[in-house]
Amino acid sequence: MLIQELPTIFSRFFLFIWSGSLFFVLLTYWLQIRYSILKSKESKFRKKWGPLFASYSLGIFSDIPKLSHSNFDLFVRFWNHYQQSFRGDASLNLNQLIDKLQIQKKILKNLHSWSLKRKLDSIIALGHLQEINAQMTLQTLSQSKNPVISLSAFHSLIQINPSQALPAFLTALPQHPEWPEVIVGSILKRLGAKLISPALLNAVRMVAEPHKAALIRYLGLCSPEIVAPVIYQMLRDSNHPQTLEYSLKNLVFPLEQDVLDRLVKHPEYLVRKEAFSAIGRTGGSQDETKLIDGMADPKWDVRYQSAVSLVQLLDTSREKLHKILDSLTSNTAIKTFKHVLSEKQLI
Amino acid sequence: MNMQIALEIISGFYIAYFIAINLFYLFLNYSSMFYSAKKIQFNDFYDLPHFFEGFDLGISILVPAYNEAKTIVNSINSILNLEYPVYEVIVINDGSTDETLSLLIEKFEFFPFLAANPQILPTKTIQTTYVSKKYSNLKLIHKENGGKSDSLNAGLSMAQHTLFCSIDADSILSRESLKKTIQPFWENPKTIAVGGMICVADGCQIENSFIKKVDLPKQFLPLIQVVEYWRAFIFGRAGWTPFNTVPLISGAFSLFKKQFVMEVGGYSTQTVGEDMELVMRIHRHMRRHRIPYQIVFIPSSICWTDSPKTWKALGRQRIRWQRGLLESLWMNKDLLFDWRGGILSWFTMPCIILFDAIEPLIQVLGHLSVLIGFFLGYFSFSTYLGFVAIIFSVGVFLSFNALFIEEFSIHSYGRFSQFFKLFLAGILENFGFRQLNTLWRFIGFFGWVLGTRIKWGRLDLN
Repeated sequence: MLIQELPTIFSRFFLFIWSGSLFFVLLTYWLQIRYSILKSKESKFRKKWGPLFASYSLGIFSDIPKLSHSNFDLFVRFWNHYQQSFRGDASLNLNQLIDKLQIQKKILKNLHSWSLKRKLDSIIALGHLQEINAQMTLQTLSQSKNPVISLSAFHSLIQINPSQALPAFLTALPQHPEWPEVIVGSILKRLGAKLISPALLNAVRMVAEPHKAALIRYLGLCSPEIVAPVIYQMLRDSNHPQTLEYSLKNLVFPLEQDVLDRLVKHPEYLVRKEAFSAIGRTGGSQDETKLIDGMADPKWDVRYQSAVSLVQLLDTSREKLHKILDSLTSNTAIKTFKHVLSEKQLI
Repeated sequence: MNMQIALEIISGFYIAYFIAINLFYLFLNYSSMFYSAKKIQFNDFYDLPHFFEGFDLGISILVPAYNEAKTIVNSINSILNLEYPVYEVIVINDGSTDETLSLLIEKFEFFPFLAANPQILPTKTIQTTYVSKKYSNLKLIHKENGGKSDSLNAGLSMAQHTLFCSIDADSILSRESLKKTIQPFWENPKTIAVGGMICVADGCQIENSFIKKVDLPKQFLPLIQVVEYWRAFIFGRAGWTPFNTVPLISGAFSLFKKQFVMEVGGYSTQTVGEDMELVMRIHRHMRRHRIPYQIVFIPSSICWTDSPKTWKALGRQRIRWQRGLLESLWMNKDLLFDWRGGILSWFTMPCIILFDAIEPLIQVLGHLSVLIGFFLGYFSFSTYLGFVAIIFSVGVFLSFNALFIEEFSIHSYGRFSQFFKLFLAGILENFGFRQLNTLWRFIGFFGWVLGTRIKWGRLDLN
């Protein structure tokens, strides 16, 4: 029965499948044509507007042509690119371009666009423009579930009103592990140590232990003298591995011996590794023994870091290093130390 | 009469299987389409300048090499010129018998150093370890021949960064490959592995060890493989990504968090499909210990590689791939229908077994039964022809779908004529290529059942 009916089923299915295939061929070619048109439009736009962007960023405010409706999205995207590359006067000069074109309202309107791309471009642009009228909508968007949208909205809010938005951003930070660390770091770095130091330290003090690490990792962007007491306190009081790890990473001044003794023996190897790394940066001759002991650690990463720090600490004084090598008794320590010495061409 | 009933049952089963497998492919196809659409939405955001300063995760790039004298210098040069701020390169010479070692020492001015060789993962004896005088971030391990997995394990023991990337010695990355591949690690701290797209390099114009102009291969076999690679990566990788059940990320280009690979014991030396086996083992480990994680495929991150140019070389590669697949599944069989395994255990793995692992067996037997039925006069010629035409057409449909996704998400091939050639290849592959591929996989299946050994070595692509 089935076999007899197969030819009819096959012929119908055959037609259906080939129509589908043809549809995808046409769709692919349509995409290709669209892509070529977009590329050529972009290149024409660059030719026309590129020199204007450059001259405006230098403060030469020449006459500008009318911006066609079809070039609006492209303009905002390019403008954002230029803005991201400049700071200070150049950035303010570029704002003049938007003022002259009088397109702020249109950019504001795009905050409600259904297209995520357009919405994102307008969020970024309004931040650079420091557009106060956008604050309310940006605040709503900063609560978005989409991490790119929420992070960009917060970034723009910080650009518009840093004193108000920065604490809110830092409070939200531990709840958003999906916000890329590099981008958060870049946002904070752009604000400068003077502005972020008090706010970040305050946020670190306020947040509960398991979330501290999400903030401590950025302490390196603050002024070292201001953050040092907080780091010391955390290293003294905390036992949370991640808090200790990131605190040690940002340590730039020597640590009390009893705290250091505890940290180089911490059960979590990443803490031990960072403790030995911190000794390399901040330690003195009194820490040599700790580093020598560290070279016999059961974890290779810790052993290696201890040896690197020892070389760093003794500032490549060959004689001293060779003396230490001769005095080593543990086979593991000898191997590790030889490894690092020869890697650095000191043997 | 009994024969006719038996044939009806077999062919009925085969047709049901055929419908199921194609519905499954369609499901993966559309899943990957939505995933790609979602992925490209924020390309502009990540392309903005100044977003990449500081806080970068360091990457150790591991390049295992066995008799790669022809390509190794170019490959290393291209890796040393990647756009990424913090990375080291560790080349592992797996006891090559050609000039690989001497060439590397000469070109990169390597000098031996007294490495501790911590052997965190057990490997064959490491003979010498070198550091380059020219590039402080370049190291070379010369060890006894032990296979690709053994080499990667040796490299892993030496790797110093949080992430490691394994790259085949004959592969070429795009300058921005690492920058693109690292994005999922930024977006989600639970990401532990990311795989990139592998494309056929034949026909492309290469300058200073990088792809200057993307073009299609002139030869028939590599051309067909362009379509085939797209289909395979779209179905088997991107399609599974939204469900966090990517079963394989290619060893030719993958990025892992070192800590988790170490936790599961590194690469297995017991299989030729070490890349898939590792991914499956990581899935198993993470699910059993209820550790939240994510394994992702990124279509926009491309690695270019040479493809086999002769039927013989292609056959060897396919037999080996089939063996790798079956070995990986077998070694992780307890993941199947494991109550802690979720979608992976209850959907992805059964699908892979049913529609990938045993597919060549069913294809060959199904075709045979239809063919026997036709010769014995139970099926008419038009039924047989119709059936074959449907199989071909569905194959073409799926290939065209994959090509559409390529244009939609990457646009590697800019010219109309290039897509015309690819569409043509998508049709022509059904006349001989696919059947042979099924046969090779069938041989691979029996090779695995019989336990014949396959050794790692440089695949002669010519």
